[in-house]
Amino acid sequence: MTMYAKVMDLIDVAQGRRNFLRGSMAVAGGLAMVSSVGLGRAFAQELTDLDILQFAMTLEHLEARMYKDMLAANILTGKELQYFTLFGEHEAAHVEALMGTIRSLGTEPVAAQESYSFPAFDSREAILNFAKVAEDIGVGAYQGAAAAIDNKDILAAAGSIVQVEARHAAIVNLLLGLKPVPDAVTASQTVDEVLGKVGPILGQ
Amino acid sequence: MNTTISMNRRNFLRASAAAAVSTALVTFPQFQLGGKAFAQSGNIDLDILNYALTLEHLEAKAYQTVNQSGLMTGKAREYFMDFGAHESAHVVALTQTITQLGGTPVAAKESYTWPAFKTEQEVLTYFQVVEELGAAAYLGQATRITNPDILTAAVSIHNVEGQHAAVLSDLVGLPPAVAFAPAKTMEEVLKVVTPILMPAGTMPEKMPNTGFGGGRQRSGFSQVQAR
Repeated sequence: MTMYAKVMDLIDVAQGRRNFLRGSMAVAGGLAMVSSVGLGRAFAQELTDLDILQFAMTLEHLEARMYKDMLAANILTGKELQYFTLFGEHEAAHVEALMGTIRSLGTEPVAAQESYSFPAFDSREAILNFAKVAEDIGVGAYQGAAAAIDNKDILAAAGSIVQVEARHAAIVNLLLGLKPVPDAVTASQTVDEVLGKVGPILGQ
Repeated sequence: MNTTISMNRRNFLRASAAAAVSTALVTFPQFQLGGKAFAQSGNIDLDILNYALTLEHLEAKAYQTVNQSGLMTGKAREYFMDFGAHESAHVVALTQTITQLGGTPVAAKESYTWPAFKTEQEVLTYFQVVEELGAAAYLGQATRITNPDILTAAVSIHNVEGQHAAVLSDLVGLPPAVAFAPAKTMEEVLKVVTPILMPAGTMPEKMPNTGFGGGRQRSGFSQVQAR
C-alpha cells in the first residue's frame, strides 16, 4: 500500500467512510489505530507532495473548526478574543489556500469532518490549553514534512504557514502564562507521531 | 487582515512565490566589510548558513547589549534574556554546522551600529523590526537550501525567529502574525542590515523602510552614535 493510500485510509476512517478494523472489535487510542492499519514507520520522505498537502489539509480543517468552535463558546474577551479571532482567520486562509493548491494538482482536497473530538470549550483554560496542543502539533507536522517537499513553491508556502503556526503557539503560550518561546528551535514530528496525536481528535 | 483577504483571492502558488528562488549568489554584489567578502564559497548551503550566521551574530550582540543596559523590566526583561540565549544558541549551531561542512564561519563584528536606546519602548520597537526581518530572511532562503537536514534545521530556527517577532509585536501592540509569513530576499535584508554592520560614522541617517509593522510604514530611526 502506498503511503498516500495509508494516509487516505486513516482519513477515510476518521470521516466514517470505512470501518477501521473492518468489522472486528473497537480499539481505543489513536496509536493502536495507527499501527493496526499498518502505517508503521510512516516517514514523511515516503510521501509525495500531494500526500503532504492532504496531510496538511486535514490539520488545517481541524484547526479552522477548532477556532470556530472556541469563538462560538463566547468565553474569551479582550485581547485574547482578538487574537483567537485573528488566528481563526489565518487557519481559514490556510484551508482555502491548500484547497486551491490541491485542486490545481488535479485532486479533490480531503474534506473537513462534520465533527471532531475536541474537549469541551467551557473555560478559558480549556480553550487555551487545547489551542496550545493543536498549534504545537501543527508546527511539528509541517516542520517534519518540510524536507520531503519536492516542489519549491509548495515548500515556500509551507514555510510561510509553519511560521504562522509557530507564532500562534508562542502567543497561546504567552496567554497561558508560560514562556512564549521555550526553546531555541522548534521540534519536528514524524507523520507517525502526528497521526498518533491527531487520531483521537479526528474521532478515532 | 488586508493581507489575508488578498491572499484568498490570488492563486496560492503564485502568491507563495514571494520567496523567489533566485540565483542571487551569482549576481549578488560582493558584500564587502573591511575587505572580507560575504559570499565566498560558491556552495549555496554554506553561503546561506553564513548569511544566517551574520544575522544571528548581530541579533545575539543586540540582545547582549540590551540585556546589560538595565532598560528592560518585567516580562519583557525575562523574554529578552530568553531570546538572547536563543540567538546565542543559533550562533553556536550555525558556526558548528559551517565548520563541519568544511566552511569558514563568518565572525561576529567587533561592534555594531544601532541606535542609542534610551527607553524600553525604543528597544521593543527596534527589536520587533529586527526579529521580523530575521524571520523573513530565513524564509527567503528556504527554497534555495539543497541539503534536507540543513533545511529542517533552518526551518526550526526560522520558526523561533517568527515566535520572537510575534511576542515583540504583542509587546508593541502590533498583530502578532498575518496569515502567510512574508519572505525577504538576501538583497532586501542586507539593504536594511548593512548600516548596522558598517562601522560607526559611515551609515545613512535613517534605517531604510522594511515594510513591516502591520501596514504602518516605519519612518526609520535616526541613527545616533552609541556612546
